[in-house]
Amino acid sequence: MEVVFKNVTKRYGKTVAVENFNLTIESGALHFLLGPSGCGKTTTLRMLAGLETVTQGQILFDGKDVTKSPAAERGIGMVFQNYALWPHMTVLKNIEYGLKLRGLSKEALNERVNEVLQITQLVRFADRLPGQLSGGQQQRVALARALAIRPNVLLLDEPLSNLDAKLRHEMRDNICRIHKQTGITTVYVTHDQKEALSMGTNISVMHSGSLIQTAPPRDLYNEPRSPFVAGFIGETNLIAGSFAGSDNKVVGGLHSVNTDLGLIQTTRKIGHFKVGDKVMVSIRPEAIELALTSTQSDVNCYDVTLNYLTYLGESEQLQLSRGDTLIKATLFNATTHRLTDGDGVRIHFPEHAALILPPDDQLGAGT
Amino acid sequence: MKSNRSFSAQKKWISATLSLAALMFTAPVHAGDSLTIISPHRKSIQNEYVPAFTAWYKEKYKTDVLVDWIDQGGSNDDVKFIKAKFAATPKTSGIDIFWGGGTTTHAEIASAKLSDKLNLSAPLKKQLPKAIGGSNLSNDEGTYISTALSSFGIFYNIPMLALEKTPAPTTWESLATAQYKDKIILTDSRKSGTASVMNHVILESAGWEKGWELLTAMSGNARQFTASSSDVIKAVVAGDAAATLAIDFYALAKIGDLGADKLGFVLPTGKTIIEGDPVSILKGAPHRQVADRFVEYILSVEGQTILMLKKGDVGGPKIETLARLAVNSDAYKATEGKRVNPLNPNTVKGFLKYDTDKQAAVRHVLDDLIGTQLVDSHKELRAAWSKVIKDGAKPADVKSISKAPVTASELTTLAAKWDNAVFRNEKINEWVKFAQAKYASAGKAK
Amino acid sequence: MTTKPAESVYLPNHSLEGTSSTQRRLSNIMGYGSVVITIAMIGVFLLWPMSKVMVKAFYNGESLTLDYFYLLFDNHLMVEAITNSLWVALATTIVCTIVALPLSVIGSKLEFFGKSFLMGLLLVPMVMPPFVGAIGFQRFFARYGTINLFLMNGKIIDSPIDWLADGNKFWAVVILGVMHLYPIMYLNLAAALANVDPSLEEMATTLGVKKWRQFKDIVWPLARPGYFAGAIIVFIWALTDLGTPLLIGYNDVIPVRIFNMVSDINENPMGFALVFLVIMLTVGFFLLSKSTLNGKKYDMMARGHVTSSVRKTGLFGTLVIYAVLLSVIAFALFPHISVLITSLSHKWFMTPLPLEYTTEHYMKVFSQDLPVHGIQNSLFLASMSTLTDVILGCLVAYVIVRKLIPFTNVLDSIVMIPLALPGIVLAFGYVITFSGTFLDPLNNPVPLLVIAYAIRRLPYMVRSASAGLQQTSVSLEEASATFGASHFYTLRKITMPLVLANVIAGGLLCFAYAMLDVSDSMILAMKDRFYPITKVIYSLYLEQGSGELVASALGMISMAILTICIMGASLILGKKMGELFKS
Repeated sequence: MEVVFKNVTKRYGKTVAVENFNLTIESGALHFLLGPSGCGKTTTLRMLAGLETVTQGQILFDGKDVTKSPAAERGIGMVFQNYALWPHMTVLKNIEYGLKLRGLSKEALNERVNEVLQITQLVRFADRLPGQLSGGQQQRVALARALAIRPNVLLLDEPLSNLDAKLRHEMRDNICRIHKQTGITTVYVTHDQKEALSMGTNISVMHSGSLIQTAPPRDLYNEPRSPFVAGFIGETNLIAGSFAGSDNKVVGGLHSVNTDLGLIQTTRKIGHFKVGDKVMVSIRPEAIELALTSTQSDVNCYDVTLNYLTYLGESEQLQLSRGDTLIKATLFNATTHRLTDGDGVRIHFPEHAALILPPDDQLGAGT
Repeated sequence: MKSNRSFSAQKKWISATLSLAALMFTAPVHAGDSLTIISPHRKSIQNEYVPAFTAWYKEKYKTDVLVDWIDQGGSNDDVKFIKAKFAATPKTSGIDIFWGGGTTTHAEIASAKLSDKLNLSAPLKKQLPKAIGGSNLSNDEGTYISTALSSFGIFYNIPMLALEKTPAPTTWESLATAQYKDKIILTDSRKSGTASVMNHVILESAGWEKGWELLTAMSGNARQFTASSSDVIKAVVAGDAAATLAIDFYALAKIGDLGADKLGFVLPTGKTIIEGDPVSILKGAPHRQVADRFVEYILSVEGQTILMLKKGDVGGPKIETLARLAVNSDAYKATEGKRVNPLNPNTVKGFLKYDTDKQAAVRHVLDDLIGTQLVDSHKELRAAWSKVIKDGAKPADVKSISKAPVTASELTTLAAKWDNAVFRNEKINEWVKFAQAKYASAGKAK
Repeated sequence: MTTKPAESVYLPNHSLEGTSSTQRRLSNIMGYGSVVITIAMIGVFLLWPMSKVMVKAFYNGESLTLDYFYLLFDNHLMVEAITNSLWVALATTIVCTIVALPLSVIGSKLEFFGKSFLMGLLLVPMVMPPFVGAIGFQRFFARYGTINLFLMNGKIIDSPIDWLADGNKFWAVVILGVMHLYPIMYLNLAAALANVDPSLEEMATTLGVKKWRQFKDIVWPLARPGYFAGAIIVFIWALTDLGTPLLIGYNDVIPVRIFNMVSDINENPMGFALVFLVIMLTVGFFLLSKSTLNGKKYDMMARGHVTSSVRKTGLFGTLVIYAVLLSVIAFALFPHISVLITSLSHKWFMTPLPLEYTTEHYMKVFSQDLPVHGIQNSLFLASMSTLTDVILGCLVAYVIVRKLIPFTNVLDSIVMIPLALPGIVLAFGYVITFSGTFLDPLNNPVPLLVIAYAIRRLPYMVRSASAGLQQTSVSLEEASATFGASHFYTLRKITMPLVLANVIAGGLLCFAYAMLDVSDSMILAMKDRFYPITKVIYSLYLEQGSGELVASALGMISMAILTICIMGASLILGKKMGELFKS
């Protein structure tokens, strides 16, 4: 089922929770709504579920307007952050509930229940009460309950946030597996970018009630459209500066930015800038390397001071500074140097590694 | 399938609801005649009269009669109730007879025009005197007639008076002496017709000013004003108060139960009255003919002897002795020598002549006046009275705290405007201020 | 994960299979229909009859007036009564707190042998049979009553002490009020304390905070909402209670003044103006407490298991607790015990205790039809009205807590009115409103009695049901909605089972107070065959001779029935009883 948001806005009194939200979720996708707490992602999910009214705009299921339909009529399955398992019903009763509402025959009902119990590996817990289950088991019951009705859309609201790290990884795999098995259009809300990057077919990043960018995980990481996305998805160095012009003789163009670090040259930019426009430059820490040999050109080479170094085994994290500008760098295979805190260092990054972005205050216009 | 299941479940609910509703809303159907009586009379009266009347009716009219007996608590509650019924349906209250509650109650019903004229048969009329002991049995309009009589007196606890070294009371004045401080208990006349009549009797017997002195001193002595005239009896029995004002048969029943060595009852000679306890047929009585027959029955010799004879006597009560006084002269002749209360009010002298209509006319004003001066300001009055007693109860002091804000003749003028509730409450506030000022300056008039 | 995925091909259903929208619509219509019916019932059976009587506060004969309110405040005695009533209410609330606080600490933090039995017994003084309570009380505190005679026989005093002298009446009313209201406060405080996460205290202990400081700084602020919820009920109850001051003879309080004016043979409309004022006061205090509550509600984050904080007491501790609890119970049951003695007495007169005892009065109760019918009628009426309360109360609470309609605060305030409304106002309102209709109580008062009992007890049910609903996460209901369940299917299948404990506890209160209802029973049950127990008690009470002794016997029998109900319910429900009354 394809889900479309058309100019959806949600207001509580004067407070805007979600503004002018436009999104198409493809049928069969595992689509993520990602953003920090309070960005409106849960509100968006709840509007999709029909648990919140829509102030303006439309929500379409396969082209059919469901904006005014109550939750009960949308055919969705939802997993709540706190699971919302009914404590007075056994696992079996919890799962059967939705099916009974659909008036399934006894055989069909049993077949379905067994199916989801197997998918979620809960068969031997069927007669327990939710209170007698562990967090991970409860989570699977919530999932099983939602899946049993074969929903048009499966909605997951921070489903893993109450689990410990190990269980979380396990459940990620489970959800991915079940999604592949069932092919249900799934909308997954989380604030954990790793969850989104590792699982999603598509990710929508939200911020302050607005949709900032929707893209597959790789594109989102490599081509963030804004400093916010760049910063939220993975780690990055964001350096403010002013646009200094483009050299179009170079194939694809070579763009320059004046920053406190010095002139940064790059082949990549998002948007059109005039000379003097304020811009942000995003450089991923892993793109930065030490310029140990003098053979390299001076382009994108800077003298900085090492504040401190964190050794992590397979990598090292460096915190560097030049004046007020702080730079993070992650070095792999960096066994050749012997730097200590306070040393002067020369760093370098390739021309394709930096990305020029419009500053965040110009957001919204671009999206 | 699901729909079938839920449907049958719904059906079950619906049928259960319907049958329950049927259970709740169906009134029993009765084939013969019926009669609805509202009465503050005790259960014992009901228990005697309902079977007796039903049997009499069956014999005389060859029809069954179903008597519904309604009681809302006391005479006051019953009056309020029929007023509420008439307010909802002005033509009829759905009730035929109002029986008992004292003359004031029936005067109240009559003045609100909620009763119809009675039809008494000529032979019965001959057996009924116009007045007994100075009180008329009937009002001028003939809407009510007394079916029993009661006298008012003082009920007292003999051992308690002995312990307190207080002489037994003989008349109203006894209760107004300083010896009785904190030893008596009274009833709020705004809520009790009995108390209202007694206040009136005391004012009548002693005169307005002297009467107020008596009432004020008695109230100053009183521990409390109760809401019902039966509560004071219990307070005397429990040893909380030594004496109270009471109706004869209440007091006699208690004496009969606990013994004449423990409790006493006295009628202040020449200063009390005989009051009738009437019956009225209510306006638009749904069973008027049966109602007439009922009135005829309770006034007949047959109906009247039940009041006076002992339990088990021929023509007497079957379950419990009632020990009341009847009105039918022939009934006295028929029970000579066999009556529980040997008193024959037709022959005994010494009762005050009592004008019920006059009392009824000013009753509301007088009740409010006494309410403001004595009941609502009771705390202040008690303090003032204590001070006056401490100074030796000088006549001037007593006079000063007993002053009424209006004269007896003004009562009648005020009574005409008393239905105006704003006017009434303005007066009440004025009187409250009067009482407060009067008691605050008690003892200072030296 | 180790197991291999199931091989079935799982295809989502693109049509909304099964959950037919007509069925859901039907359920919604029935659900919203019942909400509409509920609100209509509150209109027809509370507001309408009430206003029929209450208009008298604004009419002088035929003309509209507001003069009564001016006159009310112009009357020194009325102003004094209002002040006194507020003081009585305040003092009762404070003393109730002082009594209930240690009890609730014991109830929520300690475990000892026979706990649920004793804690159940603590609740028994909540109910007292009407009319006869006064007799027992008088027997004990009369000038030559049990206590004085006992002291005089022992030569401790020479002349009787006037226990109810003018100066003592205020405190007599307060103490007697506390004696039957502390259970409500106890229930609330115990629940509130039990709800405080013990790890918070443990945390404080690790920081070296002293016990009393922990209580003051941590436990109390968190338990405060529960306390306020109990306090407001106690406060309103003490403010509007007529029985207690009437028993003591303390006339300078609002309820007695109202009673005097309304039960005046020549009814004084000022009484209704005063009733109006009391309703305004009650609604005001209720809204105030509600807004303070909402402002001060701290959400308890991830709450640990409470049982861990319950400490078992040793032998010495158990003895101390028994001494405390039994003395409270004995003190609070004093009026009941005095009625019991009265009901067994034979020719008791001017002696400390009866010289002879007899069971004759109990025999009389069972030998007559009227008391036996009365017990049957009361059981039937109270059960039916409790059922009505459960349905109405849960719907109203659901509507209020889940804010299904606008202006829920108005609805919430309206259902609190019966707490402040003198019984006779509503009962007479019914007579005026329904005379001549098919509900005319003269023909068959049963439907009106059931409704009247239910409406008057509705506040308890609404309070307890909404406390339960507030503690139930909305997402449990939302989850149900996502499966295609209508609001009201969810209410039946999910919500109700979860708040069952609260509903049963609320129902118990409704039942107990309905069994002992006075005003409606007196006015609406007119004919013998419809008399509930209270009206039978009254008619026996008035009987000449030893009527009041038989009445006392019947009072004790009804007390016994209720004690069994309360003890049974408190044993079943245990701690959950305390979640009542939360607003």
